[in-house]
Amino acid sequence: MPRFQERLWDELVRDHAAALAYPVAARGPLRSLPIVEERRPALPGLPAGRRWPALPREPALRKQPAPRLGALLRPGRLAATLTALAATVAVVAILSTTGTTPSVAYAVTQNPDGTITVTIGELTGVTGANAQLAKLGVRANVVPVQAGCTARSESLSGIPPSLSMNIAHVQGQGLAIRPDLIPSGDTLVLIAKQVGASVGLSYGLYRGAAPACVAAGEDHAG
Amino acid sequence: MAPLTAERSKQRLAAPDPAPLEQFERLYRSQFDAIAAYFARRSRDPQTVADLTADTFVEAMRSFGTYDPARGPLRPWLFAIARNVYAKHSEHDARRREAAWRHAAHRALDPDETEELEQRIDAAERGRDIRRALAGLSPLDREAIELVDLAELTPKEAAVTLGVSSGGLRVRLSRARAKLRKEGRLDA
Repeated sequence: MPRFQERLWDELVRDHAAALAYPVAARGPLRSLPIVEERRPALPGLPAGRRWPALPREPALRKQPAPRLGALLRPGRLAATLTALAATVAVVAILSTTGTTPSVAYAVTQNPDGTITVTIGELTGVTGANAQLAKLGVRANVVPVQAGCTARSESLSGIPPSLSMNIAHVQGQGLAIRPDLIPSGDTLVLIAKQVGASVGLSYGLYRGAAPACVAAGEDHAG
Repeated sequence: MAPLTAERSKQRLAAPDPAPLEQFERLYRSQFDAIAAYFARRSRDPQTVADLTADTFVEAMRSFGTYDPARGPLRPWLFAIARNVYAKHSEHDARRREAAWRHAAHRALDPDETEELEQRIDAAERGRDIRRALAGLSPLDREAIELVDLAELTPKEAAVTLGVSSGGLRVRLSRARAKLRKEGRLDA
């Protein structure tokens, strides 16, 4: 194999292969990773149309830094437009204060580059976040994971790469999305799950309207 | 697949499941030339071709878990990523980008790699000529012609890559080729 091709492969394997097992988490670290790891059982593959952030199980993997683009790339260049987000419009609900750090129930931020950043700090913030998303005309809904949920909606088993590659984890728990890339007739569902003291967000694409909830038994947090 | 590389990968990662890695390696090895050529038709700068090719495979690797075979084969999926990577690249301020890339060029590629990429760029000369000949077409028509006639995707695969229907893609191809023939830029 030619030299550059070989070198790039080595870079990919070294820096990004973990993303093959945990595709979304490679987009950014989650603040709640250690908590999630303690709570989650060893579950099989992810359900169709839904991806939870990467939760490395191997100690060696957990110690790795956040995936980088490698020496061949300018670090972070590819994701820079998504992660360097200067807010212009933000709606934030603060529920309570613990010590000096306020607990933010939710935040929906409209960014200058057209992306929307959604952060859920408490599950009670789901309603407010959805109201704000609707106000902005974004076909995305935050849906909580609930035990015994029987809501049914048609989940799509695949997400167009143009959409998935433009969803990024930012600032710990937030997800930055590109509303203009959500396929017509579909709804991007941001699945909120309580993990310890935090709320983790994953996502899936649903045909038509979003379900009211996602069953806890189906949430293969992995 | 090169056994040594696969074995080395497993040892490094202690990956929970080697199957996706092997699948991705097959994709990488079979499509690397096509993706590098895709960017070589767009740039004569080895560093640019290297970066965009790398960006594409990095993004593909990170998105591989969300790929659904039911939605189509892997090749158009990969080309769709390449297309997005190039679109993002094109959005950046050209002057700043070129300055930054020139600054980093010698750090990223060694002489052998630069020569290898220059050979790829030279090999894509005809493709660049054809792309120039397509300049009068709409961007989507131009890409349809390129994906089918240069990247050798099937019309169905090109349709998936471009996010249009197969029928729509065929109409675009037919219309674009007719226009090129009329203007004498395509052999009848």
